Amino acid sequence: MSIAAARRWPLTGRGQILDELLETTRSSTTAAVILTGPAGGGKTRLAEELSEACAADGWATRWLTGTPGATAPLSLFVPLVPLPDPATVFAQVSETLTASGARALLVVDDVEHVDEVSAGALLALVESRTVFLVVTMADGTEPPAALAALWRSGRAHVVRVPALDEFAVDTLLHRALGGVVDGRAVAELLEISQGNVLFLRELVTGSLASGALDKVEDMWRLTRRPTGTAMLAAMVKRRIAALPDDTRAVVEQVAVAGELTLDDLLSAYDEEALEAAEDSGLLRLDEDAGGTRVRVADPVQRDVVLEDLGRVRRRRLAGSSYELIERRAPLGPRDLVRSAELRIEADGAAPVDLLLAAARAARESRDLPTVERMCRAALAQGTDPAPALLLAEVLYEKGGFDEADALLTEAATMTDDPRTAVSITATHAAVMAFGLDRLSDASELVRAAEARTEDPWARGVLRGRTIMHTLWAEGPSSARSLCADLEGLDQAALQSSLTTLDALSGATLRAVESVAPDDGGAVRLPAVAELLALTEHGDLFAAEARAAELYRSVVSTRSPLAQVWVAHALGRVALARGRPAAARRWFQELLALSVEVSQSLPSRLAIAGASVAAAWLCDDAALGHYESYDDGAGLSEVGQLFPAEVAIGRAWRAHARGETGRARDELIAAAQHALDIGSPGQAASAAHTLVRLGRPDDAVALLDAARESSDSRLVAALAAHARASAARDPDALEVAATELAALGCTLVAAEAAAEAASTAVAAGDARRAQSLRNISTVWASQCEGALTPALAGDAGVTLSPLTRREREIAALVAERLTSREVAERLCLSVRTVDNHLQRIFTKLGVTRRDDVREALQRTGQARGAA
Amino acid sequence: MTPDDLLRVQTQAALLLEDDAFAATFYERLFTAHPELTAIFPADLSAQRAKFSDELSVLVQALRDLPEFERRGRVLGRRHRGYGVTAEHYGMLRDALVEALALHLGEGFTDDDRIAWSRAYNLVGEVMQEGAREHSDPTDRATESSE
Repeated sequence: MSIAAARRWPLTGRGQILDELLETTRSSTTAAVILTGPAGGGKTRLAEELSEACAADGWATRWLTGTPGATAPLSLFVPLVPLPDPATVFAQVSETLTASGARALLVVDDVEHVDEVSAGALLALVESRTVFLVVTMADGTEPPAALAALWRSGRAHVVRVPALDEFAVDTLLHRALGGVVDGRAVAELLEISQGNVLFLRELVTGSLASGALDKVEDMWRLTRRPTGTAMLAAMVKRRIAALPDDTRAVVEQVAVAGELTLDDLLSAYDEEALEAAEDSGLLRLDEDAGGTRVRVADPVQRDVVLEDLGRVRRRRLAGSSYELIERRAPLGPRDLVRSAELRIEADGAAPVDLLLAAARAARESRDLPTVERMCRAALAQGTDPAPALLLAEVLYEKGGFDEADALLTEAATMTDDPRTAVSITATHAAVMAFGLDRLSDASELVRAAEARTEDPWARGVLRGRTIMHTLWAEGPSSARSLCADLEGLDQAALQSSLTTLDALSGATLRAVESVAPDDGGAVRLPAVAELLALTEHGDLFAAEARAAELYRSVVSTRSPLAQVWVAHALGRVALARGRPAAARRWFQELLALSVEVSQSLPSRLAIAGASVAAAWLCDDAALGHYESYDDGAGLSEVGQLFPAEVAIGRAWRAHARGETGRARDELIAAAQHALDIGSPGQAASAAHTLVRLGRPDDAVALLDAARESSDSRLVAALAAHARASAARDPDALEVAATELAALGCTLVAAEAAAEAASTAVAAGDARRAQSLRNISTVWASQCEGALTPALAGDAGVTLSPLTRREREIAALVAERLTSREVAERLCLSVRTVDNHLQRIFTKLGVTRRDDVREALQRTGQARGAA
Repeated sequence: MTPDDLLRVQTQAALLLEDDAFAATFYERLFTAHPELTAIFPADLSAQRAKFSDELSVLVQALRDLPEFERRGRVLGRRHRGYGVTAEHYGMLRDALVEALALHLGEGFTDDDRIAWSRAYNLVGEVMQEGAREHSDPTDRATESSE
């Protein structure tokens, strides 16, 4: 922790400028360098590096710093000559600097604070070639007049120190924190700091201290908004304090309002004050369709401005801000939210109508925290079913089931509007079924409500809930029986339930085509049904793209429940695509999220998916870790939506332990169960895992049955692979591999190609085998280091695969390196290498180092996964 | 760099760096774009190609161990300063490396891979430049000659 805070950060992204500056010091025509740029941009650091490089070259170097407010003439030179005298200062200083006979380099940091007499002396030192002068000067400041002349003469080289770019920030954070950094953290720190080094450093220091920057699974990530430091706050405060009163008033108004348009501000402030506020760099202006939006440059600075305001002044500014906003006509969704929030801040309350309108607008953009704030403010003024329902939907997404249950129970007794009553029932049922584990209560509630109404929309909504409950408890076949009499029901109202059912029951094409538009509601999550439909149909590219897009949106709106199911979809797609590292990241994310929403199914699915990924990456430590999570709960406890996934995770773990028989039994039972409840996609996943673990004969019948009840392209391709594998038919395997690759299942395609290669060898066709092996290698190389049984050796031969480290060592030993040489190359101790070597011998079934090379070729475990 | 970046770079490096043709493409791209750089390298490139692959391979493998990575990178950078390599050259080398990767991996070289390699290269380049800036001191020389 203290490393990043205490150590001087490595100079980054400045190599070329430094070379250029060194070149300048050698030039005969240039006598001075002026480094300009924003405060904290790295000017001083660059001057230090230049000075150190010159000192190493034998120059005599000296460092002086301009002090703000220093009015005593010649105070700059006090560190060099204790009693500078205006008449003799030039002689005194030049004598000190040239005493050693070496060339002299003089740095003057913050030259804008140097008094005019000192500046005159500096000019004389440069003109007489006594020193090479390096000065730093912050943007927006004026140099002393004597030196301004030097700038104009062209004898000084002016260098602007630019902000760091994205790659420089990435490298700097990596080195300063001493490890890999999550991409989103880099992006956020870059966005807030705008590549300003000092700002970045203060953000990192502050965020480490507050725990916002945290090391999780060997990766630095931001767990919440970055925090600044006291020093950063002081820096911002100084900048605000330096502003004239009318300029500061603009900045404060914008900080309190959060965001205003330029037109709002022009109606209240004069143009000059606005221009000065813009020039201060504290505000940020963005153009969009609604005009020019004005905000404080970044959230950290805004916090500092707000902290500095007294309570009374803050309330007054909130009041004038909502008045400015409410002058706009008509009010847009964002205007509603802002004016409601500002009214609460200014007056302690806002009209219920405004709060409800603001809550609905926020729900439209899926800004759930705002929905929650607006509804709570409305409910504080008395119970009302409309905000209670909206709030319960948000609580359901966040995992606040008990409070949602209480709110809905009360709201149900108060509403007179039949449609609101139906919405309350539907949400309440979801809370009971998926949050409180009271599935039968939920079903009873919904069935009773459906029996009471003739309204087609109401009956549609309620039937949709019943379908979801039944899917969860009993699986697709039972749920399908509820679709026999949809006459007289509004189909649109239950469309996303039907899409989910179709996707899981094998009618994947209809599921893809019937995707309902997102209605913004919290409970039905239609976008998740869409992802499921695309994945089950085998349209992995579309699923991947859509899921990534959705993930960005649910993260920005902080909707944990939607995030759970989108992360699950992303993990599943990553596994199907053969990307274990990506999959593991998504499943780890899912595990963390499922704790947040207090649901047990997602956490079990997360462990299962992460186990599969870890098995492919040969990460034994992680597998052991996941084993400890699994308490052997039966299928009934995880519901019937994804009945085979937990078994598949368990099977890969059993296989990694060498218990292949157990893996097989687990998979056959899971596939058979999935078929029994009408879930062919899940049956196909489980059965196809048998193929991958070298048991195609056990898989063929199960996969054929799955294919018969599904129109999924993916299920068809998996079934074709199983048949080809069982028949050991190189032609059919090659066709299957090509089809799988076209679907984007790159890892399985690589496995099928590898199998095709070994069957071609058996058929005596060595040339074809080689070409198939090459194809397999190329595909496998796109799979993030995955090493599955079919890639590790001949299919059907179950051989415990080498770990990544073991492969690395084995490859070097195969090149005839000694243990000492291997140790040196990989930075390990000789003893560690020898320990690894013993395990390698055991796994490869050899006893001497000389046999490793041949064994590697035989089993195909050479480096690079081929 | 993210863990994903590391995996991408290490996997592709393992695949490419044993291939002499890859190093050849790299130098071909470099000299086509910057003919003036031929002066820095020996006329016979065969030993240079092997050295390039070895050094890159060792650095990429060491990426997971930052202190070790920085030690090696600095030594390498110091040596390169002796050859007349300047900060400006590092940008040219990066472009040539990314072009060579794109040529060798074809569609297998995605935008994510390009970003991953650019981040990795930037890290390598900065550490090497830091080494180049260090003032030679006798203990480092000893390490250098043992490389």
